[in-house]
Amino acid sequence: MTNQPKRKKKRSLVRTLLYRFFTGLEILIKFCFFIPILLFMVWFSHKVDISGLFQGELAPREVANMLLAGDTVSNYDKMDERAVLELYVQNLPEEQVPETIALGSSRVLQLQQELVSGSFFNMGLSGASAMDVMNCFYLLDKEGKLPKNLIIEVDPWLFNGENPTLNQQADTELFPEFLQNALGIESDYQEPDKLELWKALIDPAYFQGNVKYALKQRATGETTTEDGESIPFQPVSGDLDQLEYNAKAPDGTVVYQADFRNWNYDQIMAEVLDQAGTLDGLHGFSQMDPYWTDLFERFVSYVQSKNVNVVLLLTPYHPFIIKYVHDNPQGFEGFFDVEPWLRSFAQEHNIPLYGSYHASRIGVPESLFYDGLHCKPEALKLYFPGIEAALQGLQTSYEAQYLETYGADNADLVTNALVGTTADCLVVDEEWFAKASTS
Amino acid sequence: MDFNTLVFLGFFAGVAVLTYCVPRPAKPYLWLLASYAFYLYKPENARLVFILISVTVVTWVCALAMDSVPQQATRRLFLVVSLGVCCGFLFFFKYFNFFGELLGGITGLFGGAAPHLDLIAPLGLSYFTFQSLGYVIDVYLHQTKAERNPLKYALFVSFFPCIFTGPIERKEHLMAQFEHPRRFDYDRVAGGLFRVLWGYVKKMVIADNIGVFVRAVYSAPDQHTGPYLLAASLLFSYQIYMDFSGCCDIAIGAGRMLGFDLLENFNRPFAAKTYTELWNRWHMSLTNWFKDYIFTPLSFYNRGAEGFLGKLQGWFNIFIIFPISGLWHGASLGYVIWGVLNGLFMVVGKATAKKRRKLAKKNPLYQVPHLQGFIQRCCVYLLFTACIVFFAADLYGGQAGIVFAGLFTGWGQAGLAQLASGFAALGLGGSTVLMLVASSLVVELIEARGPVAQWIRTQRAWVRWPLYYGLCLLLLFFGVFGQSAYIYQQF
Repeated sequence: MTNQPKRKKKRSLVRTLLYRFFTGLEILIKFCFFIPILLFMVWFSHKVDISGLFQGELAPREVANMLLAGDTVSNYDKMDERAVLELYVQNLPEEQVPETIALGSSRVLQLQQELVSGSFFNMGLSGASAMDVMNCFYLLDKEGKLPKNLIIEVDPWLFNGENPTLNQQADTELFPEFLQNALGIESDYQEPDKLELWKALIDPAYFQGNVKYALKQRATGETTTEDGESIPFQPVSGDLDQLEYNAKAPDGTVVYQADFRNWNYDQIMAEVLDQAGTLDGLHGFSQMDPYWTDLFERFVSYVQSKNVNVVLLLTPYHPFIIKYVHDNPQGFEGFFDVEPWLRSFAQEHNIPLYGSYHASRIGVPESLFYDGLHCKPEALKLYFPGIEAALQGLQTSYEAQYLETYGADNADLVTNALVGTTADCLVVDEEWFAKASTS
Repeated sequence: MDFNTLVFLGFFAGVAVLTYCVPRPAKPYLWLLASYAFYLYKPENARLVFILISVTVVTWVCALAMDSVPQQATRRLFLVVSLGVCCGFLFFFKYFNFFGELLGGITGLFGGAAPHLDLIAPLGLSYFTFQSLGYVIDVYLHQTKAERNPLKYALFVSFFPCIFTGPIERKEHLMAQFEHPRRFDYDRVAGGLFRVLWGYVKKMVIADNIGVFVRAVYSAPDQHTGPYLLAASLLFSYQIYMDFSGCCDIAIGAGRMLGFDLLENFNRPFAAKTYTELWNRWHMSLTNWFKDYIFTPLSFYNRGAEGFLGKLQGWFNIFIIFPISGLWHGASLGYVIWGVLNGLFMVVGKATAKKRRKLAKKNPLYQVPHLQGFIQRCCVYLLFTACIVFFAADLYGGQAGIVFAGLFTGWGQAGLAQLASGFAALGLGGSTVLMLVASSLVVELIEARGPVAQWIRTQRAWVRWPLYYGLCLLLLFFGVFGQSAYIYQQF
């Protein structure tokens, strides 16, 4: 036999292509076996989210979750309120969206659920600026969790364009987004690079940080921040009347510490005097700023366009503050323009407006103030009739009392009381005022 | 592009898929394109790509010329030109400032200033110049034919799995594989992929976790006492082994997936019982390069010497390789001292080998099974560590003198619990130590069975898949991500 060279087997093109296709498929399928590891990593990183990339920072997240669980949360003063609200809205189940939401500053934070009636959440923020108020609404709007009714507590400084510190605490990234996306006003808003954010989910280093945090939390049983500092917020148990710190109630309102709530007259007036001296938000308020006034108008129109009922609420200042400002009007001229403008604006747009900056105008006595800026829930009861009544334009208890005193035939007296001159409303203890002013 | 980045993984996946999609004659050009893309990805390399191109062009032309010219003198001239160009670049970018400072030290005595230039050496300079030099020397010595195709030669010099960290390839070994690319082979690809994963675990889990501790100690050696300095020094030897061999595993595994068998660089060096054996197992491609292109020619020229002079010349030939190797690693006195010490240990080892063997027979400890091997391995490890202190000090900005002086301080001062908490504070906590010990054991045990890429393919699925998952989870839970480059990349 002779050795013949082996003939090289020639594969057909179809066979080769099929071979390659099925081999590729086999490799792909085997790679898919590793997907559970990737999914686990993504799920775990998203769940723990130590840096708060997806679920917000740990401390505000804890607070928001406690509020949603119906707890009153301790250490209100240490909260990042804006972050808490953002996460509250984010985590709020759609079926639990309250019928009524209140926006405003700390001056609305005594507007409690029982004063409003129905399901209610108070989104008031300490030192809230116009930016904050609009941002809060936009949070709800963006998440598609709009309430039926919106109570906007309008502070005079919302129209003060001369004080650059007002918006310092506000989320200055969210606001341009609101302007552009909601009001259609061109702003410097840029779509965030979400890809970068989502990359964190497949970042093993982020996963490891989350694992370490979760293990430590499990071992110590304590929730901490990313840096290992303990989170000072706990559900409040026991008697709220004996609170040693300020707390946030599940309806968003603030429960002041017992000591503050029980201040005597002198303590209150000392604080009032101090606040009259500073009045940060109103400084340089020589006139209503056209930009913020226009923006407010557009904002209210936007809210109404979303089929949300609007109620405007003016929270009174302590009579001493009003008198102080009245007697020293330089730099506060704009302050006195706000209320009349708001009243005409409300009338023009058929929006119910309750309250006044002038306490005596709405029958709020000095005794119903915690300090110069914040009045007690009992005061609110006097000038706000509850959401149902407000939407029907019904009178407040003070108005009712006024009518009772002067009779239904003298209804114009009520109106006069509400729109009377500032000087008519300066009801303070003149003797004390004189003493305090000279001290 | 660093191996331990997602960009590299994406890039490599693309190249691998394309490799098996394009016709075979086009494959080398695809790889060349990929290699330059890989190299140019780093902006600092893009600025200095002319060096890679120059080295490629000059060595290709000189080798061609040597191949076509019969006169020895002319051939030698071409060899000198290519040596001059390669060494010139190497010297200029890596050693100019080092020798400038040395010179400045001398001229400073007479009021002169040290010359200094702000130079950044391109990554992989030492690797691709040595690879090119090896090629031209081989051509000069008629050990290989010059490559006619400039693009294929350019691929040989710049082949992306090897360009930054080796192995330093030989023309005969790699070019043949360019000429005859392998068909797709599932086992090869799967084995290569496993070796890449293996390399990542060695680098990112073992080396980098040890590195956290070593860096903390060596960057401030004066603030740490003996126990810490000793532990850091001992651990650094293992760290650098895991770092470099892990990187080589990735390179070799990647090559394997593309159809190549690249040169092995490590063969379990710490299993060596003698210092000579260690160096036969450590950075083998570089050691063999030195052996072939420095040691062998020197031995050839000294072949006439006999007796003690012959021995002395032989020892010198061994010794001289190591200071040169030290300089290859980096232009600093620390690397030179590291080389000198290694050279000395090698020479002493060679000179005393016979006597030690005789003495060993009388050593009662050596009669216990396995104990001799264990003691010998420990001795080799300790000697290696004594040298590597200079290496680590240079790498982390510490001073070797302070490390050696500090080794004898602090013993007996701190209790065990205090030491443990001290180690934990520096990154070596209980769970990390446990993980390091367990994973190192697994690595050593599996590598003892042979090349991992081949070994894994002989295992049943119930061994393979838990191992795949285990390694992935180890990486996921303990890998150090985005923090350190490969140590040998900077050489």
